[in-house]
Amino acid sequence: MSSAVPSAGATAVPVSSPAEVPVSASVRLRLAALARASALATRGVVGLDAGRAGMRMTASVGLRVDGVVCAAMPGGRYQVSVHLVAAMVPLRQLADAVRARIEREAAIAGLADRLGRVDVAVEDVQVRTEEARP
Amino acid sequence: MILLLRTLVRLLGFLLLIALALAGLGLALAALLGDQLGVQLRGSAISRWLEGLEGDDGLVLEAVIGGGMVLLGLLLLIGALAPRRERRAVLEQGEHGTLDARRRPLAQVFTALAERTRGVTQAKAKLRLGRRAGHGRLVLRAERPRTTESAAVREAVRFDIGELAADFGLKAQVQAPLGRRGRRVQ
Repeated sequence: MSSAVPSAGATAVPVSSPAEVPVSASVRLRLAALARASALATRGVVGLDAGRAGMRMTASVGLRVDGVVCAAMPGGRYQVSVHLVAAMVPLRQLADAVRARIEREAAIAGLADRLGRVDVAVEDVQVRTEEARP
Repeated sequence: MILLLRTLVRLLGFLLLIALALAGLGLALAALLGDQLGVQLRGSAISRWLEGLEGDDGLVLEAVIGGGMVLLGLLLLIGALAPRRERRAVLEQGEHGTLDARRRPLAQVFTALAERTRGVTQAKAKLRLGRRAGHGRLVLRAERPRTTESAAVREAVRFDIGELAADFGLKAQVQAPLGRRGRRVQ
């Protein structure tokens, strides 16, 4: 959940759902949008964080996905880094759940063979005393 | 802090380079073409100041300025040489990907966990991460009321945070001093 105005790709329109990304868009952007939606739909993820300067994002053809960095790997796959704000939940299980959901959504979108490793970076934790221990 | 020092390095570096270039140009011109330009360094204020520095007179102002410049130089060195990448606590690293966390939120998690422990009135976690992934040190200060034993509180806190600290490869040290009066037990 970045409160800062992104500096890089600031003119690009932020994407909040994969449906907003045209099919003709790059695989990189489609994977990033898919990863963002998957992460946000995972229980225990409070939000995504693009960083103070808004650099943690993926931009292409005037569109921008905040909080997800998608980078090309050898072999035509893309490495996805999800920068998230977590609730007070077990982090290892949270990362597994995020990865599983991204993989499932990528398979549904026909991008399973383009998805590489998925890194999960916990940028912040929303601490609430009434929730379960991590 | 490091970001501030980096900005300072860039700004001062730029200004100092310009000042140095102009001063060098001026001195070179004065040395080479001093007679034609009517500039005479001998007997000038700069010359007298340098002679004063060589003398035995106590020059407090110059010493303060000199010390300040040394300090500034050290700060500039830190700003220029400090590692650019933020150290992160790595929980897992494998072929499927990496799971890591920033230092500050992780310290907040440890603080929150300790504050839930029975007998703790207030807690504060300090986290230092090593250069290598999976190495670090956690110092947790858990304040307690007079009615509780220090050893018992330390043990309880260690039990509550131990698993998570071990997952991140952190060596945990728990302190349980008496808290300030008026704080309530969780």
